Amino acid sequence: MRRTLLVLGLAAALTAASVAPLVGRTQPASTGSIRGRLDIRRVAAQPRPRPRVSDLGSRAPAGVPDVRRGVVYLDTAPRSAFDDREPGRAAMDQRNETFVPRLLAVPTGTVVDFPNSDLTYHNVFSLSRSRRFDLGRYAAGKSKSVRFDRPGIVRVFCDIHSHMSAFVVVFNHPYFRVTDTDGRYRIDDVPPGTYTIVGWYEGEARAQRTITVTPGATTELDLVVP
Amino acid sequence: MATASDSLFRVVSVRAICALLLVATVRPAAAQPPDETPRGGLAERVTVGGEVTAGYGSKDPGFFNYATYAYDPMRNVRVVMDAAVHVSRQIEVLGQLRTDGLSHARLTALYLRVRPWRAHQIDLQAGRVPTTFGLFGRSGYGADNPLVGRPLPYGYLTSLRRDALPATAADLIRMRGRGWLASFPRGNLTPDRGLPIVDPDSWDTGLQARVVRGKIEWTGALTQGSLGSPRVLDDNDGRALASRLVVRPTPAITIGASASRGAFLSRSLADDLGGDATLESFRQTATGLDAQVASGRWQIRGEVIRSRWTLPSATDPALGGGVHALAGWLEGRVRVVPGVDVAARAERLAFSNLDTATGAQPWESPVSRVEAGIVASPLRHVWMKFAVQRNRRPLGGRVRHDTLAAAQLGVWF
Repeated sequence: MRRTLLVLGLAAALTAASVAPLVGRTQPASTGSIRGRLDIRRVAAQPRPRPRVSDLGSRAPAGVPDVRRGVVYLDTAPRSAFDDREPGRAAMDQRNETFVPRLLAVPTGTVVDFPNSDLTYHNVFSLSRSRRFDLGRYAAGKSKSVRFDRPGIVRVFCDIHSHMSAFVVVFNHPYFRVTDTDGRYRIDDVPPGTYTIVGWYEGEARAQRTITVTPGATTELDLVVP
Repeated sequence: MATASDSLFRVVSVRAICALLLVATVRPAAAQPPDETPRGGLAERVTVGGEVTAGYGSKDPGFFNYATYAYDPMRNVRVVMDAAVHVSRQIEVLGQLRTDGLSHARLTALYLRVRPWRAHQIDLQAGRVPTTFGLFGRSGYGADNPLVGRPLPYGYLTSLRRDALPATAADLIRMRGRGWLASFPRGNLTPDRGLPIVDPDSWDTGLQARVVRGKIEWTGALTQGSLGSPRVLDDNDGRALASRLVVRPTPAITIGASASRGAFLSRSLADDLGGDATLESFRQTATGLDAQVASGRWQIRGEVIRSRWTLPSATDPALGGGVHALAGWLEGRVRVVPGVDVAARAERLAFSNLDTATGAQPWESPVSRVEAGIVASPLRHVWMKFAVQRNRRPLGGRVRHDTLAAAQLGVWF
């Protein structure tokens, strides 16, 4: 339900642009910043490999995925957010049977590389509605890419290793940040105005507040994910 | 074919795994070394997974797919629960509970896995361990199988039985194509299922060792039963030896060679052997060669297995040379769009000839099968299969050719 709300929220941001104050490409002096902490009270359990009862022996231990990070973003974005931008590039590596980073937030149009840094094959795929893809099996040292053109949440998996999973969260504006491992975030160059700010964690929008950004100032806001 | 020892194993092993779970979750009184995992209680020490599959298809009056007389895998509901108790980083206890047709649960695996040296990829397993032989015996039914049916050597029932014997070659030939309910004049006279080349639904009990060095993996096992008749308790004073060598020249290619030898007749036949023969001298000996190639959206795998059974020949010298089976299968799978695969398998199972009064004849009817299907995964852990299977068995059985269709819904967790 909350995922649906997020997608709707992102779509609403497009609509909101038409009623947002008409501001052009903002200069740093006329913008503000938001910073704070996404306080995750209950960190999700780390995905663990299923029991390998039919194996003839132990497998190499998989890496430990980082489940401490979330995303903080503006649910309604200023009009300038939708100005044309050069498509960027990001990477999600596969190391020790783990996606690194496990959480990637990118603007639409970004091309994400999925290099394989393991000695075994991987097969990255997603069945998410906003981006459905399957890169097939490819070996160590090889990399394949996917372009994300639609906003939404894309769950990424490996077809060979069922314990491997990751998120690519795609926004149609630049006002978002992935938190650090302590939950801290900072969003700069935000045009003045009143916005809804959202804390997202493990596939769901989990916290929401209203915030007013003033020019040349940094607004502090902590969000709590219960 | 459930035996008393299997039933005993069900009861004893369920209690044993409960006890092991309890013991394993008790925290040691002494402080744990910093690099020892796991720490904490039950949730951190135990991982659980499972698979539920439900299939429905056309009736199989020729019993081409029956693994027991009781149920048809094409129309089966199977629930599999796997659990691993991580006693320490080097010791695990693994178990599997399985139910077919929602009748009763069987403990199909329960064993201890030990890695004595962390720096070396050497594993020792003891208990009811995974099948050492071949490509398909450790997986088989649900997500690992792109089709609904299984390869013929992994389940197709020959007329040979472990508790009944033909007196003559003619007795054996008379039962061609009736492996689902075979009967012979010596031993147990009640009709019952015959033996497959490899029994994929039961695992054998004993010791297993695996060594991995670079691109080469070797596994050896010493167990109680035989390839087609795994057992919990010894029933014939014989032991089965199995070995498997796997080479992976590149991550895309896996080549394996397997061998197995074990006594397959039960103790109840000891008085029917004739002469000075002993039970352990009547063995199933199997060798196999398999290969897998997987790259991009393609996966291709295939296997050739030869199996020989030696039979008592006191009443008919024609049985003295034993009987042979040769099986081969080739399977391909391709992902056409994300979440949708198409797959096909072609296979053949052939049998050696026996001399009879009317000339040389195969002791079992050859079987050929072609199966094609589609697998769709609307969600990552859910799949739907639809497959069509064409079987042909020209020399035996009431139904000599048949076309079957089946659908299967599955979920893993």
